[in-house]
Amino acid sequence: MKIDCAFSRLHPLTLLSWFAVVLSVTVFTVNPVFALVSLLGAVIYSFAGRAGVSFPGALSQLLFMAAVTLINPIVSHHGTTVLFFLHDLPVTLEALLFGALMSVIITSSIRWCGVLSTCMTSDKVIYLCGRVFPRLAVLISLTLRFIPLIKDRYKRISDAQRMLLPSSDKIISRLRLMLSTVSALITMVLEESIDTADSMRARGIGLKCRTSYSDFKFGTLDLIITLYDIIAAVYLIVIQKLGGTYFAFYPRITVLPSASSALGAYIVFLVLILIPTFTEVRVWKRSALKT
Amino acid sequence: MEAISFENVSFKYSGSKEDILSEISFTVQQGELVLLCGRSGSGKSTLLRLIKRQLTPNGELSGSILLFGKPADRLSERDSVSKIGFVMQNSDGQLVTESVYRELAFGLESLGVPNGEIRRRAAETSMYFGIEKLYRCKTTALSGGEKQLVNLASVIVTEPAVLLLDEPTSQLDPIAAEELISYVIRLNRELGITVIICEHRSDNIFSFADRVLCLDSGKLTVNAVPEKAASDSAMFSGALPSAALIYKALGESDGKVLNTVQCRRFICKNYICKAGLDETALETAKKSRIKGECAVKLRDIRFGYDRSGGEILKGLTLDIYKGEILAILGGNGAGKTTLLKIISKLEKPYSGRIAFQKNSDKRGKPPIIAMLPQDPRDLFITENVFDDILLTAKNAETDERKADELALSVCKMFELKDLIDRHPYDLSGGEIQRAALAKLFALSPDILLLDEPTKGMDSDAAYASAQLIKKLKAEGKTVVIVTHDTQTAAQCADRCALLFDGEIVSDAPYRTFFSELAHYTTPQARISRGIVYGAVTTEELCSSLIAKERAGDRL
Repeated sequence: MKIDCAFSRLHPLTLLSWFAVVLSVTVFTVNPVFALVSLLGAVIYSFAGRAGVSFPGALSQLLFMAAVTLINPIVSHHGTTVLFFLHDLPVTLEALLFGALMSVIITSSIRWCGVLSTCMTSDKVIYLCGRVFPRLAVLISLTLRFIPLIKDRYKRISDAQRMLLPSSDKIISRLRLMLSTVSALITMVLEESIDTADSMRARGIGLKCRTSYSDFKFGTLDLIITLYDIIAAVYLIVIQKLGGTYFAFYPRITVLPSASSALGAYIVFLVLILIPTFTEVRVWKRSALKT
Repeated sequence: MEAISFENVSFKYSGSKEDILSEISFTVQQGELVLLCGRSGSGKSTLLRLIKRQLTPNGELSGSILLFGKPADRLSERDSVSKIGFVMQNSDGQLVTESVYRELAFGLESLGVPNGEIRRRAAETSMYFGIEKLYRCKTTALSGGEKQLVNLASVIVTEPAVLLLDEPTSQLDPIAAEELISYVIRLNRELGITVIICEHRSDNIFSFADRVLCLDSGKLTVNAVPEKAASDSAMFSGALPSAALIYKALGESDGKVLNTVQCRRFICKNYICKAGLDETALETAKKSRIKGECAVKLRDIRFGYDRSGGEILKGLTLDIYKGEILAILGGNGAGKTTLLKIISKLEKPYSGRIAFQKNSDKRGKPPIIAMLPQDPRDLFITENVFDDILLTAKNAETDERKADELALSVCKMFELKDLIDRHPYDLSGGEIQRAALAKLFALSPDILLLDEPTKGMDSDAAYASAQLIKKLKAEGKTVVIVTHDTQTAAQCADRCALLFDGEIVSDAPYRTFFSELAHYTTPQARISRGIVYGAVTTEELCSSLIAKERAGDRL
């Protein structure tokens, strides 16, 4: 997934609210329509994000889905429509279909979480934390700075130490090398962090009233999407409480509710799930018009 | 208006019996550019840290410090943060955040500046320093020079009135150092910021300073304009620019010559090359080719760290002769450290051959190679220098008693008597280098690879380092050093090579090497170009010049 896709350019609060609603619905409402819509949305978005679908990726996901679908009937024996007996344990249709639903839910969650990890960059996380606790934002920033630094120092020290030991492939000697490198690394990082602490103090970390810098703009599109997220969340919760989208597998599969309220919920969710694709297409259209 | 005023200031670290600074008195006017020099350990850092309250170490202070006309403790915390900027030596240690733009915003965030204003000031500062392209970069992706520039920018963004710099260029290569110093000078000239800078390599800044202060063991010995300071005998000679040192060595004492141009003019006016010296030098230089057996042969080496980084070494070919000191010079990122890693077999080239000459006296075994990394502290893992050396000795000798003897003998060879009980991190640059070499010597190496041995050292320590390298050669080792420092290379190398664009571009005995290069050469060679051939150190230059009047007499 390209990191600089149009969806990730939305404001962090918008992204947060969108992902919160979508992931909650996908995972907590055990409903085949929601699950399928979610998966469909993820697949469509992967095309729109111009990453395409890599064949090995898609194939392994399909295999995973098949595996979950088939494993569930083997471990769960509830349900009334028996297909056949396996070692005196009934393999039921309901269990098979429930397995299918689980595979769809898990796969779509994984896909959307993948999108989340590329969209929610460290900048956005720091921004969200900084709104509430500016000091926390500094801490996260500091951690992100130190991790590559520590990796680099580790390599340096281990290179230097490797040259001192006679070459041998014994596990003991390699373990010793690692332990001595880590111990030297800790000392070195502590020494260096004294300079960092000095630098922070010199630039006023101790002063009160700290602000947190951000250059995220909350635009019209962000406003529309965030409002829609909130409205959709409220609507879906209400419908859920009223039982419109209730679905059960055991002991019998519920017939798909076709009441208008349930249909409304499904449509609201469908629109929600297509928002990322919409943001991408919007950018395409604009650039296509230019050329 | 006075910016900073010290009156009889003495400072002692808590728990220490001796004063690190004693009875220092001086004044710095607003808008002055002051160069602070002195030997390592003379108290320069401490003096600068007394001015910035947040960095003042624990200790006893006597005397008074006035900042902007008021006593230092009357300055508010806020003002101390925003009006006084401090740039430290360690470019990595100073960076706090993970992105450049956040680093620039850090100081302003602490001061509670609103978003819009932070954006405006960060934009303006980035444009001033020419780092707009780096604005969104991660701080780990920057080079050393860029990091230090970002550090300077993130201090300037709070619009300080006083800028303090504690050896900001000591870890940088010469080009990056020049760039940083030029910005510091611009900040002083264009924005009127008062600057106090501590620098060893003063070639770029000495003549631009309004005043020079010199500390010796905590006492202020020199406080004068550059010309007077250059002629003052109390001045620490390591801080003088090469041009001034040549001027002094030629017997002049009025300190008028401070940079290359002035020196050349002076020499051209008053001296000529001793008759006949020019041609003989040229002849001998052309004839001398280092002869000897090859210890290491590198043929057509190609190497890159990963696909995205591209090829760093592109078909490199090099011979390293037994018992010589070879200096490999090259710019930042040219691949010098990579080359050392290839020779030491830490990395494998993906094409090309390395051949090591088998040791006739070691029953045909391949030669032992030891590498001294850029930061010698990487080699130390215990809290005591002797224990560390003993560890390596135990790796070399299986018998306990022999290991002990070996450890003691290397300590004696490198004169580590005073250092053996100390923690490696407490040692100075020169001391830790000696200790690290002792540790490597315990392996009985045949070839020693030194990565930037004089990084961060003042000229005295660099000279001592060069002598130590010569001592290694006297012990029969083959030494390869990789460095930016042309002066060290001229002092100790037999042969020099220039690494550029992944290949060795030039490779000659040191005198020929430096005389043939016009820009990337020692300051002495730059000064004497066209006047004297082959004079790459001060001694050589002075001994090959003869005063015009005297030459006229002879003729």
